[in-house]
Amino acid sequence: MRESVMRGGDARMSRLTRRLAFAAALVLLAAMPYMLDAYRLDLLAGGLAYGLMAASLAFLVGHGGLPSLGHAAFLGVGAYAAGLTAKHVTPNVALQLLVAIAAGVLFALLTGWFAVRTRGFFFLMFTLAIGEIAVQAATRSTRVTGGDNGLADIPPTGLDVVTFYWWALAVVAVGFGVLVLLRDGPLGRSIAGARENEARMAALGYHVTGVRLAAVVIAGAVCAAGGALVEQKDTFVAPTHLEIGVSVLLLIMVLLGGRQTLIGPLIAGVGLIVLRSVTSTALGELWLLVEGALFVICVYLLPNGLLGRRRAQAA
Amino acid sequence: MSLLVTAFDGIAFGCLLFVLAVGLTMIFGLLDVLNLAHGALYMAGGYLAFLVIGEVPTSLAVFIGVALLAVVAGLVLGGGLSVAIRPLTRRGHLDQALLTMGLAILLSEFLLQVADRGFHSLAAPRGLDGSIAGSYPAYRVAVIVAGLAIAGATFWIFERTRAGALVRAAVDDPEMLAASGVNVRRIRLSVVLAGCALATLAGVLGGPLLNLRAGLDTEVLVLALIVIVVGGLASIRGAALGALLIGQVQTLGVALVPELAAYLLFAVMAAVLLWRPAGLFGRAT
Repeated sequence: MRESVMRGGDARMSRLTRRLAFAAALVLLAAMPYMLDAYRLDLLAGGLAYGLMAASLAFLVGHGGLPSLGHAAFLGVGAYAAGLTAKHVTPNVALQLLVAIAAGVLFALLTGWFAVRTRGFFFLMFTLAIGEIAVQAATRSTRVTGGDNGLADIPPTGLDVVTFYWWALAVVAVGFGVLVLLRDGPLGRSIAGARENEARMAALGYHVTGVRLAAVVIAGAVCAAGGALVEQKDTFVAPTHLEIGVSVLLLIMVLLGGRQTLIGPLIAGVGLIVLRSVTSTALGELWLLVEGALFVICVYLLPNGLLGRRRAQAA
Repeated sequence: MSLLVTAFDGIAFGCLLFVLAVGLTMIFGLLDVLNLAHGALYMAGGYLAFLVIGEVPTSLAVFIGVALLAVVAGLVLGGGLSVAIRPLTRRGHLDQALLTMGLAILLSEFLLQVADRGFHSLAAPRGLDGSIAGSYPAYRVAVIVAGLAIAGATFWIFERTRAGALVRAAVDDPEMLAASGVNVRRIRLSVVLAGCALATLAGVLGGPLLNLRAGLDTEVLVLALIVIVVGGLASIRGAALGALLIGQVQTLGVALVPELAAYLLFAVMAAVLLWRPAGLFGRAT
């Protein structure tokens, strides 16, 4: 499987081969409940959710050229939206997901509308600030979010571990598929165009700000879906879910997997979540030091990620 | 009356933010590097002081000694930062910013491992731990005085001395300056060192005001970033005005509309970006 997805990042591979590899990987993942115990399955479901969010960030950073430092805010928006829906409206996981996606779109429109008007460093700072403000908002709006203690008493989804795993896998597969189709479609090409040469795109009659905003909305909606899965898995969400550390973790996944691909960050996401869990008893709080070291090493040694193409990188 | 006190708190907080933000904005102006480790440097100053003197009040002389020690630590860390960032000069802005962020995580986690993850605060030094004019904490007045002194010194150096003129020239046209035989790399290095030393100094100054804890680095980094987004990059004047404004938003805002305080920061930043995309004192590039 690893072999096939490794080549999945290669542009020369035909569309058919890529689809076959995708289908094969999906079948293999769908068969996991027959191979793994409940604990590992639960872990894998969480890994897939983070992988999807990493892929959405890669869409934004690599494909859209919009380096966000506050992507975890979308995780939080999706998770809180799904959690509040579960608590107050309906136990239906699909409806919770839809509400989470809608909330992600709204949040993306609201913050992205300002963010895409900034360039370069201002975009970095603005997204970092939005991430931190989202944490503060979640912490301070005690009545709605439960403040520091998090959103407690979310009723369980009612799905057993295996069914929930399949539900999570389906959401991740569809979300990832949407990202790939949008990237390769006309909108994705205009987004890439806005990244490569804004002036030319504007001269061709494209509404560049709108195109950039579309990239933020797509990435935000998909990330919110991943956030909803995180909440549904644990039936819990707290401000720690959207801290800067989580944005950094998502960025490490993107750097490790290769920012020019979508599949790379997805795999790196699953891998890092599994790694973190496996080493958590041994490392404890030292994990954050490991995370920082990984980050630094990635920046120094892996400008294209493990699965990235070895092509000259656009600034 | 109580609002006036809160506004005064805001000035003290603004002064602290200025000491932090001025280094950030100048490092950016000169090196084109967004130093996301600036919050971690602040934290390093605070934790250094905590590890040396603990939470008990000390004499003013010891406190100043610790502040100087933090300045030295800032110089050392700044040297390390400029060495670390050198290999990435050709790799683009994002990679450099990401590297500083990775270093920030390493530094702040290291500090939390050496100390612990609990809440700590420095005590104001003896002599400044009382209150002035009835009930206002003397230490906050001292922070305002220190902040104004640092701001004044920075303005004086930049506007009135040859060194400052060289730095301004290096921001505006480094090639021309290098062609006139000036060692631009040395100017850049000294600005990084000075900026980092100011950040660690701010950490000691702010120790009695803001609790030392996990996450402090991001919190102050984001505030400093908002300050320079509002004020405009590479502008000392902008950093000063932005710091005072954000200081008020953070204190008056929390006092008047506690539920909305977080959104208020966002609103100020968004409004400035819409009205003047390059910040209040920024130059369009």
